[in-house]
Amino acid sequence: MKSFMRWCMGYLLVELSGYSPERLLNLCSFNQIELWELVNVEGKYRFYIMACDFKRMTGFVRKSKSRLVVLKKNGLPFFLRRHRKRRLFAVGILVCAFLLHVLSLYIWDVDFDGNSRFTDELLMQTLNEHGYEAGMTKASVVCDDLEMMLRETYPEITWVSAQIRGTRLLIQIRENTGILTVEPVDETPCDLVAASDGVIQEIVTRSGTALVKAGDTVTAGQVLVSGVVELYNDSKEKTGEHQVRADATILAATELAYEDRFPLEHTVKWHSGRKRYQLKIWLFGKEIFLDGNIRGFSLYDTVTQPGQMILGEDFSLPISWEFHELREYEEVKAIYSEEEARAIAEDNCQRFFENLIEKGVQIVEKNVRIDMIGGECVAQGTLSLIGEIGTQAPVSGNFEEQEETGS
Amino acid sequence: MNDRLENLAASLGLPRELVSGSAVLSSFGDSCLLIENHKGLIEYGRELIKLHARPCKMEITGQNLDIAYYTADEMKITGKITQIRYYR
Repeated sequence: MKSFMRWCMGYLLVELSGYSPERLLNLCSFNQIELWELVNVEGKYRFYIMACDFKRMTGFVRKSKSRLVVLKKNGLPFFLRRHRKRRLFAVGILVCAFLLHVLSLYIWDVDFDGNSRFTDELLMQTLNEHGYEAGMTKASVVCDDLEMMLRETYPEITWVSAQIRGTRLLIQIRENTGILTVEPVDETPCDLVAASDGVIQEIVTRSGTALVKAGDTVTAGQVLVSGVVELYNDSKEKTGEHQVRADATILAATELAYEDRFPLEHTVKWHSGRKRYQLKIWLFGKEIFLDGNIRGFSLYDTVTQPGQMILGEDFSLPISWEFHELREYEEVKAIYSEEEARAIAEDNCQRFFENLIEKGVQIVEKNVRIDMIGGECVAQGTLSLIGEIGTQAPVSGNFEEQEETGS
Repeated sequence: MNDRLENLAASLGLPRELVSGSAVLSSFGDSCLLIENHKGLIEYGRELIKLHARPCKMEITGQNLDIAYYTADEMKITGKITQIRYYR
């Protein structure tokens, strides 16, 4: 700060020589004239002094019989004097300052932070639909309204903070990762039937009438827990029945056939190495497309590098660009070697097992064989599993709702 | 007289140099020396600086001695300082 003030006021590098230069230095200090970076160079003293203090020193120079020579003039007053004839330069500086001021009144960039479920593009589209876009004036952005709009549009967003920093609109978002929704309870009566053939290992009935027990062999479609509950009086006589929603945990040992097959012949991308470039420039929100020559490219990958002109950290300017690199490729037929095909098949198999385990199924035994048959890789076998077998089905059988009669 | 004033200042909890006007030296290693309450420069060279420093004079020797700033109250000397000597 002090050096900036010195630059604004102007300062000089002077060289002091003569009979008693120390006396001049003492006179300066006693008269509150500040000197700095005093160096003795070949018997002469060089130091810096403020331009305004230099005039006060002339009397002291005479008194101390020393000689003072100005070596260099620094600072704003000297800069302006040196360039006083360059009027257009001064006008340019003023125009530049004015333009910067005008540009600083607008929002030129919108940044999102903290969003994972909702992409930047989706949020930007929502903002655009509600009138918020790059190029709008800062005065027209009401951060509180914007925050409320986003929260109302996306209930999954639990917290939004919008702030304007420089010419950027920064929106920080916190998303709710697990929304608690109360699902309506389905009270429709139903049975639990076997989803596949198997042997019951364990059954815990919460509602309904269990028709099987542990150790029973069941077939697909067989009713395991009936949704019909019979009612008896104190004399053990059936007085009626009513329907409930059968609910039970039924674990059964089942066998699952596994099969995965894919052709050994497949297509791969072969990059020819030829590249073309495209440039998109947005100037004040308007798109200028500089199309590169992409003729002759039927298939290509596009690598995009976006950019924006920014002064400092937060002063985004209304000039942004996207640089596209188009890499040509051709689709070439290739054939997996046996090792490659086996690795892929094993990988698929492993993923299938992991999915089963995630669903709570216990794998007791797996017997999968991988073979190359007629240009195909075939993985097939059987899995012995223990898992939930019950699935809901409409109540079967005749049913007559009867009023319970008291004894 | 000076001693009495210094004792009085000490008993009142005031800094002694305020009363006696003695020079106060602060040194940062051997590369920087800050002198407050100096009474003027006697001689300045790259290897020797002589000062009035109440109640005596002071001689600072070293190599490449520069005066970073010089005001009525303070002086900052930089360079390789090897010796500080007081003399009358």
